[in-house]
Amino acid sequence: MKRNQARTIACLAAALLVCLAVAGCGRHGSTPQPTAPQPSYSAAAGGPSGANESGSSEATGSAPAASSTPATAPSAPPTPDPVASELDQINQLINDINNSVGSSDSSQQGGE
Amino acid sequence: MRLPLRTGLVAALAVVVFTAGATGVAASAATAPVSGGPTGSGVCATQAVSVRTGATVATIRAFADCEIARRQTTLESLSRVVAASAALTSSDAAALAAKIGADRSGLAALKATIGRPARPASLRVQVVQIVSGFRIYVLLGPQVRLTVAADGVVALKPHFDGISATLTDRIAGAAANGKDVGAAQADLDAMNAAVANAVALAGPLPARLLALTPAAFNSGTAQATLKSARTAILKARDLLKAAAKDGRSVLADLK
Repeated sequence: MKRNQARTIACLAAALLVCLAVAGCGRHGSTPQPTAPQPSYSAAAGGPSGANESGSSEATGSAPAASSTPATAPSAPPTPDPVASELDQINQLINDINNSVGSSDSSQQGGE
Repeated sequence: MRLPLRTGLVAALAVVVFTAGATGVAASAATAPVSGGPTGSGVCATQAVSVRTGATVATIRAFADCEIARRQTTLESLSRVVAASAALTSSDAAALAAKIGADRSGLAALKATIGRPARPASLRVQVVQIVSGFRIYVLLGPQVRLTVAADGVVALKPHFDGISATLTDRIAGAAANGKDVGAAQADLDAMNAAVANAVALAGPLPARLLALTPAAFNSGTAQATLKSARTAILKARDLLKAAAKDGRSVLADLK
């Protein structure tokens, strides 16, 4: 009888751990994980000679490194063009402008 | 033995699913736009009904206190918008912060005035001042948002200037290698022209927006400025989108 109780408790503990693991995975997945540097106007002020300039040097540096790697090695993902990356950032900043204009509209609706 | 275990598992999973669902609902509710500021235009509906059904000093004062508190919450929110904006110039940020601060002080003073002994008729006049004396939702809110947007347009110019310089170098390099760069140069010129037009549209707006006052709104002159500013910023936004597209076209032309 005691053995059965111990087994029941063990099973419940295992089930609880599984549930906690599932909940933990879900929380981790819902946290935004930026894959690229977040755009900012301070970065914009730096222009292409700022943070993205390092991206340019990485691009030029990665070419000989890739050619020297063995053919069997997995190929590294292509480094994005720094200008294309900046244009992506600009698009996000344009979206911010759009959001500001949109907020100015919604704040006028029946507020007073 | 197995049945209780299965029941326990189902119950535990149900708790997890319910919690996840509730979190999602809470997140979506937090991001939903609220009409009339962060506390909503209907937050004082109960007090408004009380005034309509029985206008006493107490009911009018309760309504006024609620409406002032709602505006103070909105002003706090607008302060955060100004403080968090990376696009605002320091002078525009200071001007907006000063306007917000003046309205917060003015509303606090009005609340104190309304709290003094008075008759319902004179209280009503003071309650009207909560709206007409400040115009938090139809003037100050749009002033803040549109100024942030206009400065955001102008702040993108240095970014585009840097891209233009890089693309100019690339075009020169491609031309030196004998490549036909006519299309790339045309796209680059279009990008530069679009950015210049966008900045010309948005540049003068902050000064015009910041000059607006509740009195100008009450007389009906501020509305046209707000409307034209919004139209200009939307046009500038479209020009910037086109400029970014032109920049990508240059990259494609040079491949």
